[in-house]
Amino acid sequence: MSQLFLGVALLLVLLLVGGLARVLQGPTPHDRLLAAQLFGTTAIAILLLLAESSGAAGVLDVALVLSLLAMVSVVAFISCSRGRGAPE
Amino acid sequence: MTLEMLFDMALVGAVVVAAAYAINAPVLIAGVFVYIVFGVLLSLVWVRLGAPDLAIAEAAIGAGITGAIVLDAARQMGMERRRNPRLRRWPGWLSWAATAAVGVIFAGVFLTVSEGRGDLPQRVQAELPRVGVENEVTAVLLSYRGYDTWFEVGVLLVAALGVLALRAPGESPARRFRWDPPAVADGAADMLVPGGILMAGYLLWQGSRGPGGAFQAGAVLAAIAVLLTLLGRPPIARVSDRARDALLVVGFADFLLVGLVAVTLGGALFEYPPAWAAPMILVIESAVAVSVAVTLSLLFAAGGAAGDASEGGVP
Amino acid sequence: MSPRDLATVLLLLLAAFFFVAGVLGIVRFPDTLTRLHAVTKADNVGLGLVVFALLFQADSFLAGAKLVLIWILVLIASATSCYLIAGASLLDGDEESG
Repeated sequence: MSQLFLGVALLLVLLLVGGLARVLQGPTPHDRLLAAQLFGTTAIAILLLLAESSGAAGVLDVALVLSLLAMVSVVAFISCSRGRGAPE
Repeated sequence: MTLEMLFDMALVGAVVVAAAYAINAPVLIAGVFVYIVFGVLLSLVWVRLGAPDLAIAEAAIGAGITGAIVLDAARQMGMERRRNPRLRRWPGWLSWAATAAVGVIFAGVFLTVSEGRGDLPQRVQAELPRVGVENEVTAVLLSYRGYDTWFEVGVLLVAALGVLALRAPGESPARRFRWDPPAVADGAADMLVPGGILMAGYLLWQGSRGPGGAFQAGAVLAAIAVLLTLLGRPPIARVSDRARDALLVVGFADFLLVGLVAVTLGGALFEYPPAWAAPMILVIESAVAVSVAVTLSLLFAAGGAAGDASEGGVP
Repeated sequence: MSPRDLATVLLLLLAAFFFVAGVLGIVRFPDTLTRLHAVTKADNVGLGLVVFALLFQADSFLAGAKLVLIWILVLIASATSCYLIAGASLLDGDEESG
């Protein structure tokens, strides 16, 4: 069973590398941000699978912190582009 | 080849690809977003290396603080800015040579350390009962090498003083992000803030038994403060300057104070008596977590003020 | 293979499908809003299925509750993020140039 978890985690890592190109291509900053957001969630899924396959302590806490803070970068981008001092 | 090895190779490959993309991004903002993904990948690497303490710290700082700092910097430099053409004239072979040299040094360090490690892990384990905590990382940080960690807290304090000294006069975080955030963002933040405070308390308490501790708890608290600052509600603006300075210093001062109490109880500095070690470490960690949180959130809230001040100075 | 393991395997395969679809969508779809639609599927359903699959293997209530909590946090973050990105994208008029 733990081999299956690792296999799916491997698939997710490969997907992440393949999709990284979208961050570079854009064309708008929102496309780049969306892709980055998806990879945050992908990483959380990988962490859950690693936690289950290895049984190591604390791995779920890493996922918990990442999921708690998943929104911060998006809010940072929106407030930088919409808030005071945004490039017109 | 086992699946574990395949996964690790793919993960390392992903880190290298992300690093290359971040450096060679066509526009600034693309590099920033790849860099944020790079940080998330790094925390996966720490998990695979069996260092969940570092993975938690990397996740909290990468997702919550450096992402926002770098985005704020990108805003000031122009998000769609192209790569600096002058950078391209930098001879390529020179940077490759420098990278190769650093790689050789790291490889040398890695090989000598893994050979010379000896029975250190066993000795750390053997002494744990006298330290009062079950987490080896916390034991090493706060007990075995208390001096180091104390000075590291001091380095953070100096960094905070530097940020305060460089801040433009009259600039406040409340003015930097004065906008009307969508109600959805405010509502989500209202749900996440109590969750973040709970998470920080959990990590602080957990630190004596498993992965977690003062730095992780402080980083999560700071990330929550960054989120509120971005939404125009900076928590740091709610305390007076004097109270803020006190919170910045409390970790460093409390650490020293507990160390001195250990001296009066008959030990050396930071040599906590076994019966009192657990509560003493918890007292240190709580104060350090507060100082780390205020310092890290100050790095964001007060940073990048120069450009904004000149902008806002126009009547 | 026990029924619990079977459920885990099936749900994980389904989750993998959603993640593949999400990344394919983000690479292949023509504009920001269609890509956003693909991302939300992977975010909400993909991770939800992973959590659901692992719940069948959880050995304590606390471990299971942590998994569900992670999913709920991602749901909050993902829904908010996608709303913010879509709003900003519409304001910038991405859909005309995209």
